[in-house]
Amino acid sequence: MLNDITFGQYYPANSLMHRLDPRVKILLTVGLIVLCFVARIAPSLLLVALLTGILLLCTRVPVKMYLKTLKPIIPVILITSVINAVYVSSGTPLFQVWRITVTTGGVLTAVYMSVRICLLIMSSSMLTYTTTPTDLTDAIERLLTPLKWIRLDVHSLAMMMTIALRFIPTLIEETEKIMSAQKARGADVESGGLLSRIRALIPILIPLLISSFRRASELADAMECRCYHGGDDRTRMKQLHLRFWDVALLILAAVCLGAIILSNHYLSGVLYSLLFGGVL
Amino acid sequence: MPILSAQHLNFIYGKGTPYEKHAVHDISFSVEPGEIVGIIGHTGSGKSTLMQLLNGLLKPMNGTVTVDGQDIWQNPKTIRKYRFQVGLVFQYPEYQLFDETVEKDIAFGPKNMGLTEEEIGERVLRAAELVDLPPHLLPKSPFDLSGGEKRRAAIAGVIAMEPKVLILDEPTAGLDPKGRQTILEMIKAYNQKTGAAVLFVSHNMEDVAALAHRVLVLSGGKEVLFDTPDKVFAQSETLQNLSLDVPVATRIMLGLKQKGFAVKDGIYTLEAAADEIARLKKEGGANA
Repeated sequence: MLNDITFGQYYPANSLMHRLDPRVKILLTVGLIVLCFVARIAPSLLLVALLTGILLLCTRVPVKMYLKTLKPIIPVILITSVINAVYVSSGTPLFQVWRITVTTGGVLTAVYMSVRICLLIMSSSMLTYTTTPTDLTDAIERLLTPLKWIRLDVHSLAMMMTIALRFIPTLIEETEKIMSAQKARGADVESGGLLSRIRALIPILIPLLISSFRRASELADAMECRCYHGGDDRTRMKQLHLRFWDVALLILAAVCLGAIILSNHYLSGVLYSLLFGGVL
Repeated sequence: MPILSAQHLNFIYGKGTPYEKHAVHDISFSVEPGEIVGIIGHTGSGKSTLMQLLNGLLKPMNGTVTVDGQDIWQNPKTIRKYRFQVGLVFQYPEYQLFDETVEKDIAFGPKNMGLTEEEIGERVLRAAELVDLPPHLLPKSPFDLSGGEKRRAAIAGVIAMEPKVLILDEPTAGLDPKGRQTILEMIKAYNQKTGAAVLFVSHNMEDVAALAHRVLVLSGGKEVLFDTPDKVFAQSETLQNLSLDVPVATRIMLGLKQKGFAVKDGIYTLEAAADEIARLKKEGGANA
């Protein structure tokens, strides 16, 4: 059951994306997400989709894996689509149900929003599929280093994230073990009403909580035994270096950002009149 | 008729992903009522997966598990019934304790079976006595017990369901010698008092030699041997190739044999070894 959580799981493969500097990958992903929302018109959004698609293919992760990440957010997409379609009232009316009028503008906004959400999810899973959690936090720590100037303890923050990420699989495994053990004693978590299901969680949550505290204190002891004392003067085992492809992709991303802002600006008028010239 | 039987069991983790692992590979064996079976195999040999297949926590990709002649997956809705008949004690079972008192925790299984309050109370007392848990501990919080007591309380939680087959995954792991002894005696007592079959996983060959009527050897998810302890431990080379060991007594006998003494085969307990050495000395004395 818990094995179905694919979002945020590393998928081992040998690809250009896997080998990229994790800092660059984070910037690219943030860039893609920004692009999704900067693109206001169909052609620019298509361009973003195309770009995302190319990058996804570069990861050599099966497309099936990306589609899988979309499954849990289908309800989110449906709800936002309905709300958008109902509340946006620009453009011409298409049809009317009771007192609600659905307009072309509403439908367009709904479609745009759905595409944006899909792209957002896929580009963030591209990051997590191709980057190990440790690389990820390492890169975040370095990208956040400038925040030291506002007295933010970037290292501790990154360490907490690393530990949290590191323990997600452990906790999932532990949960499964405890669940199996309680199921072996006849615990029934899968049927019954809401209240009885909540009550059925107690035999799982209490042992899990206790073992988490035990693990935390053991880990703290083990870290202290190895003289861990925070970020000052710590050196790194793995140094990150920007290589050709890292720089090339960063430049490409910057160019795309510019192109989409420009196309928003100049193409919108042309395209709208081409597509909806009659109705607008 | 065997009480528990597995036919051509197969189980694969993460099928269709890069993490795919064939954990149990075509395993077939059966256990008679009242029998104690030791399961040995090094880490990753599929022991834990096999145990979970036997009480229906995992569903085999193919193959069947029958309890008392009935296929447990014939109707998936009734699978819980078989979990009460095949009691499974996980490794480090003390980490599953959760209730306010030891008594309530032991009662969790029987309660899930839908027994009457009276019957539950009796079973809790019987189980506590069987695992040698003194009555004054019952109203305490399970988290105030010592390590060994916690382990026994957790095992009592499964025994209280009075399963026809009791499966234990490394029940003595991480215990001191005395705690180990108590658990082993408890396994024997449950087997003798209730006539239930017991399967237990162990890395300790002495434990297996002392308790098991038959031994199942696993490696890489496959069944290597399933026979009586004397026959299994006679194959010391096979066992050593699987990074397993033979009991000390068997090792002594093998050493003696290499030195040219005419010792009997199939000795795996210290008592039998002592008798054999005494016999040799006597005969040797007579010959000299």
